[in-house]
Amino acid sequence: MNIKSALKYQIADGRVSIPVFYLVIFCLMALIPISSSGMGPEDSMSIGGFEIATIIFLFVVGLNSFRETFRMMIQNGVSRKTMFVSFLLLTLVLSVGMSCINEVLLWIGKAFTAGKGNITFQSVFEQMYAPRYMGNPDSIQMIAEGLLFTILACAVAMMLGYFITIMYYRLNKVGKIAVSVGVPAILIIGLPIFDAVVTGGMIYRALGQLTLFIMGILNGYNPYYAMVSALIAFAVLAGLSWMLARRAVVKD
Amino acid sequence: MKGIEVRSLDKNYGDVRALRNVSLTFEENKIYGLLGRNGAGKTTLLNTITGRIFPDSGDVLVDGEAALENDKAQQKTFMMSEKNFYPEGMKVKDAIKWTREFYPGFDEEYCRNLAEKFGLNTKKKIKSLSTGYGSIFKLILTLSTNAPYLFFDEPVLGLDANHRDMFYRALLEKYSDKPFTAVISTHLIEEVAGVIEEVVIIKKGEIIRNQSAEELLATGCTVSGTAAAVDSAIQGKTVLGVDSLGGLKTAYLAGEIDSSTLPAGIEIGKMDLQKLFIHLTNE
Amino acid sequence: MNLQDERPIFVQIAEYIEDGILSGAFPEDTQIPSTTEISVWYKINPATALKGINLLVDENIVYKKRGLGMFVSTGAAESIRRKRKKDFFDNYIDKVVTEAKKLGLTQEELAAMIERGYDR
Repeated sequence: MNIKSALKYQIADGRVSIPVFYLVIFCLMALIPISSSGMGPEDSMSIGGFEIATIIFLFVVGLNSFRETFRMMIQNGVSRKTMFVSFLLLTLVLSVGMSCINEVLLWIGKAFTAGKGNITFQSVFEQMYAPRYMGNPDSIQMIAEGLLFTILACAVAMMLGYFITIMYYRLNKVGKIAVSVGVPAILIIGLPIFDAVVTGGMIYRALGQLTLFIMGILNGYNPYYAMVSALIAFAVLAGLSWMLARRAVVKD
Repeated sequence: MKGIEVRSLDKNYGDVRALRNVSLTFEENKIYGLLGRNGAGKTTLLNTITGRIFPDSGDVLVDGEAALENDKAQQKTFMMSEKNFYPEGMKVKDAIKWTREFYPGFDEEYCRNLAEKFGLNTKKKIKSLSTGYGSIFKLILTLSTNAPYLFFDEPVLGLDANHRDMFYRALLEKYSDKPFTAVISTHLIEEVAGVIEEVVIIKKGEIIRNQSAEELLATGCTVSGTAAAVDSAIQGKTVLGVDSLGGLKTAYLAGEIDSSTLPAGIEIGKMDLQKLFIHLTNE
Repeated sequence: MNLQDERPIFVQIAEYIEDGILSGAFPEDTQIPSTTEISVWYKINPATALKGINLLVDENIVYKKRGLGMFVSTGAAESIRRKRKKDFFDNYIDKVVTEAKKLGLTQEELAAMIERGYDR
C-alpha cells in the first residue's frame, strides 16, 4: 500500500547521510584511545554526549523532510495524510534506531574507559540526572531511562525541524521575513534587554526555573518529567505540523 | 460510475477567477483534447483534479469516489506537467524506479523500450535534461504507469518534429493496445486534432465547448468567395469571424449552411479545429 | 491524406482502403490493416479509423473474421467500381464541366482534351 512505499522513499533519502553521520561519530570515538594515550597521571578527561549530535542531526533531517518529499508524493498520487503518517513512522524508526545505536556506543565507550581511572565516558543524560543514580551507576534502570529519554528527545527534535520547515513553506514572503528576523530579534535582543531593563532579570530567572522543572531536576532529578514534557511538545508540534501540511499546495 | 467527474469547481487567485463553475466528465477510455489560450485555466483545472491545489468550492470524483486526499483515487491518475516535481539531483532511472514503486501497474519493459526509442539517457540527472528530453522523460513515465486516467499538460513542449510524431504514435499504439483515458492539454491544435476524440475548450475559466470532435466540427463551416458574394451569403447567420484578402473573403460560420441557397462562385468549406478554436476564443 | 481535405477523415480512410482493393494491394479474402495500424499510421483516433472501416462493412466491401481481423469480401473490387462509376458523374464530370465553363472552354474543346487524356 501507499504508506509502505512512502516510508520506503523517506528512508531511502537517508541512505547517504546516516552512514556518513556514524562515520564521523566513529572517527570521534577513535580519538579517545589516541588522546588518552597522551595523558599523564594527573590529567583527567570526561567524554561523551554524542546523543547531542544525534539530536541535532535528526533536527536537520526534520528540516529536510518536507519540501522535496511533498512534491514527490504529490507527483506519485500520495495524499498529504499518508505522507504525514509516513513521516511520523520515520520519526519513530529513526528516534528508536539511532538512540539504540547511541546506547551501544555508550556501552563501548564505558567498556573502553572502565579500566582507566582518569577518563570517564558519560552521556548527557547521566550528567544531568546524576544524583538519581548515585547508588547504582550504570544500572539497568539508568540505561532504560536514558534510552527512553534520548528517544523522546530525538523525536521532539525531528518534529521541531519538520514543523519549522512546513511553517516556512506555508508562509508567504512577508511572513518568512517577519519570522526570520522577528524571532531571533525577540529572543536574542528584545527579550534580554527587556528583562534587564524592565523586569530586572525576573523573566530569565523564571524561564530557568521552568526549564529545571520541566526537566524534572527540581523534583528529585526525575527524568519522567522531561519525558512527559517531551511527549506533550511532540504532540503539539505534530498537531501544528499536520494543520499546516494538510492545506499545503504545490508551489513553483 | 466510472470516469472523472468535475463538479462546479471554482478557483480564485485574488481577483482573478481562474475557474468558474467548471463541470465536466472525463469518460473512460477516451482521448480528450483540453484546449484553451494561455491563462485560460487548463493547468489550474488539471492541478485541481490531481490534488496539487485546492478548489475554493466544488469537488472532483474519480470512479465515484471523492478524489480529495484520497490515495486510492489519486493512484488511478498520473499527470505530466511543465514543472518538475522530482528531487534535485535525482536521476532518470531512479525516478523510474520510484514511479514503479508507487504505481504497481507500471510496465518497466515498455518504459525501457520507449526510452531507447526516444533516445533518453536514463543515467542522466533529471535537471540536466534539455527542455525536450525533460518532456520526453515525463511522457514516457506517464505512458508506462498504466493508470486509467492520464493527464498530459503540454506534452510536446520542446520536442522536435520527429519526437512529436513518435509521441502521438506511441500514445495511439498504447491506447489501441489497452485503452485508457488521456487528457491532452495543448496549444498545438492542428497536430492533435486527428488524435483526439473529444474536445473541451476552456476560455477565461469557463468551459465553452465540451463535445466530440466530430460534432464540434459539424457545428461550423467556412464560406469563401468574393467579398460581396460572401457578405450576402452570410446575412442572418452567426458569424464567428472573417478573413479578408483583397477582394476575397472567407467567413467562419456557426451552424450549417444549405449549399443550394448559395449563389455561384461561393465555396463552402469544412471548419477545422484550430480555426474554430481561434474564432471561439478571440476577444 | 491530409486534414485540410474537405471530406471527413473517416471517409478518406474508407477511400484509401477502397483504392488499395482496386489496385490489388489488398486482394480479395486477404486482411486489410487493423484499426490500430491505421490510427498509428495516420495519427488519428482509433474511433475514427474504426468508423471508416465500418463504412466499408456496411457496404459489404470488407467483413470481420472473429479473432483475426478485417478481410476483403469476394467481389469487393467489382462493387467498388460499380459504386464509383455511379458517383463518377457527380464527383468528377460535374466539376470538370463547371470549371471548363468558368474558363470558357466549349464542349468540343473539352471533348478534344478528354481524347488526349485517353491517348496518353
